Amino acid sequence: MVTTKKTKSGTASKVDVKSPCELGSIDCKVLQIGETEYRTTLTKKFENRKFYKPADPKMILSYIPGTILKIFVKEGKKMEEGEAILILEAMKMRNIVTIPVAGKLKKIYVKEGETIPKNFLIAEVE
Amino acid sequence: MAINKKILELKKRREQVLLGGGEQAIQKQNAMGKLTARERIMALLDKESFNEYDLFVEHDARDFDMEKKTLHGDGVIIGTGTIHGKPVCIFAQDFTVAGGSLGSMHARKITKIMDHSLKMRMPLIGINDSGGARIQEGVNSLAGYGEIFFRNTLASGVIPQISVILGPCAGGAVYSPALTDFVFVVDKISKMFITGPEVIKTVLGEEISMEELGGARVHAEITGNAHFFALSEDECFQQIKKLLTFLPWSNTEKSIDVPARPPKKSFKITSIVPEDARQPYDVRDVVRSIVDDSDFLEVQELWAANMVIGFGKINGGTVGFVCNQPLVLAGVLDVDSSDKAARFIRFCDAFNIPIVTLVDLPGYLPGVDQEHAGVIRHGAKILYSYSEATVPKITVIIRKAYGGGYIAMNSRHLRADFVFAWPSAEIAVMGPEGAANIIFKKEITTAADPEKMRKQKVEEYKEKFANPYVAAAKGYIDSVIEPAETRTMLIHAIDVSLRKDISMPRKKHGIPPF
Repeated sequence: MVTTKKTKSGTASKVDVKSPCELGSIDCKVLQIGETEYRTTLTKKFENRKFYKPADPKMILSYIPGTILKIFVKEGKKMEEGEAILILEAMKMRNIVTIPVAGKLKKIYVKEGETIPKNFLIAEVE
Repeated sequence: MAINKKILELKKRREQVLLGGGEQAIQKQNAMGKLTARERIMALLDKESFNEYDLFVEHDARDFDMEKKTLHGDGVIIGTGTIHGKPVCIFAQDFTVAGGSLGSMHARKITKIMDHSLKMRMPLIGINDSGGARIQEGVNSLAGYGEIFFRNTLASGVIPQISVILGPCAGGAVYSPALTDFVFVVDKISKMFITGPEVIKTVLGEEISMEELGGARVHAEITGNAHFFALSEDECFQQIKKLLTFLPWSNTEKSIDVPARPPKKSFKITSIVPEDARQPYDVRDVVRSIVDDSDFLEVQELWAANMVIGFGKINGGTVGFVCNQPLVLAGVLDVDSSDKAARFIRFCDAFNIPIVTLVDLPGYLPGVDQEHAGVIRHGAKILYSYSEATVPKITVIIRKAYGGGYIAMNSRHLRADFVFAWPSAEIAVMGPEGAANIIFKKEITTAADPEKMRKQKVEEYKEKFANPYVAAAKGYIDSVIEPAETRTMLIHAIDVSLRKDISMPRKKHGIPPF
């Protein structure tokens, strides 16, 4: 069986395919390079690789792990580009997280005092 | 009489110090499944060959009531001994004495033996088992680390430097091993990280165990910081001894020559490579069918396995192997495999070890993750290291050698001394399918049956170009050889290269794409 995963760039790469292989006991898969399908094994790192997703400016993610120190605004507020939403304290620094585009702040996903990892969804712009 | 009394006193003093942190601390160390620093040195060196220096060194901390404390040997044992009858320098941090913490005298002992190994031109083996900087000694402790790193760099490429991680090795301390040539780790015992789980938790809120963060497996499989992974300390010492059979004692020497032995009969080189270029095989079987006694010591076996590197003997002399591994990711070049090969090539070049390159790769691994991880910069390291290397460089193209991958894998154009190709070699600008689609685009799209035409054109291209003879006609390869002739040709090539002498342009040093 062949499964094809479409990547965002539109190129198809075939992964996670079990298929017979001439090496008896070894569980071989198919890896497409260029237009040739090779029978081979895959590494953990390759199988766990993240597929590229273009950034969505309306979804505000934490760019560093840390603690939410103070939230300045309430959900539903209309904001200008660059206005402060909250303070994210990380590595002993108080980082002001601002809104990257003008718009209504649809939802805030964090509370004051909450510790969040990197790339955590903090807030969403409508 | 008087001298006898003094000898007795010396013996008494020795006995006291030899116990390190004392019986209790030793029991604790053993309970963790770890040998003591002294036991480790004895296990690694030839029997009764160890000569210890600086046994009576004491720490010189004067703050925080430290002046009232005695720390035997200041937590580290240094000296010389032999392995395979040849002298080596060694230091072993003693976790039973103040957790092996590094103070200024501790560091001074280490730098003393480092200076000795560089001056006397012999390998340095460092056994790391330390809680880190001795906080009570403040900036003096940092100075100690700096002095060690400086010497690691100075000795790099002059004498082989081996780091053995047999306990924690955290914070700045990890940079000494990182600067050395080979790092040995042992499952469940070795721990290496810049910032530990505690700090990561308090500062960043991420929870992770020491083992998951920087255990032996992590560094052997994920980070590539470790070169050899063992399940026990004893296995680790055997690995070190084995490695030393392949290494020269300094950059002005050659490795130890041993009597030549033929490969084992069970490795039949002609039947290893499948006919279908899309099917995998284990390139290590090809290596084993070439090297003496079929004995191949693989380096960084678990990391970036799409590239195989390691040492073997050919006719008694050491050879470094750099091979694409079709069994893993079809043998592609990517960020990690480029780093792995490039550093190994530079090691071989620094220590007069001829390099044999076995080529079978479809090219570079496509993907956004690779491009964004800097595959341009990392891939360039292979080109740089091969071009810069002046040791004998021999290439055997086994099957696919396409595009940029062909150039990178020690091609004639990077000044390979010998390039051989098996009859199964395909040396071409890209794979037949891709090439035919581009060159015959018009014919294919305008054909009544495009798919049939495409297949026909791919076959046509394969017939004409997917072979070693186009490159052979240009002299890019020297000989097309039968697989069974490979060992003989390698022996010939190495013999011919014995007096190889080429000079590079004068420079302080190049600037490799780190």
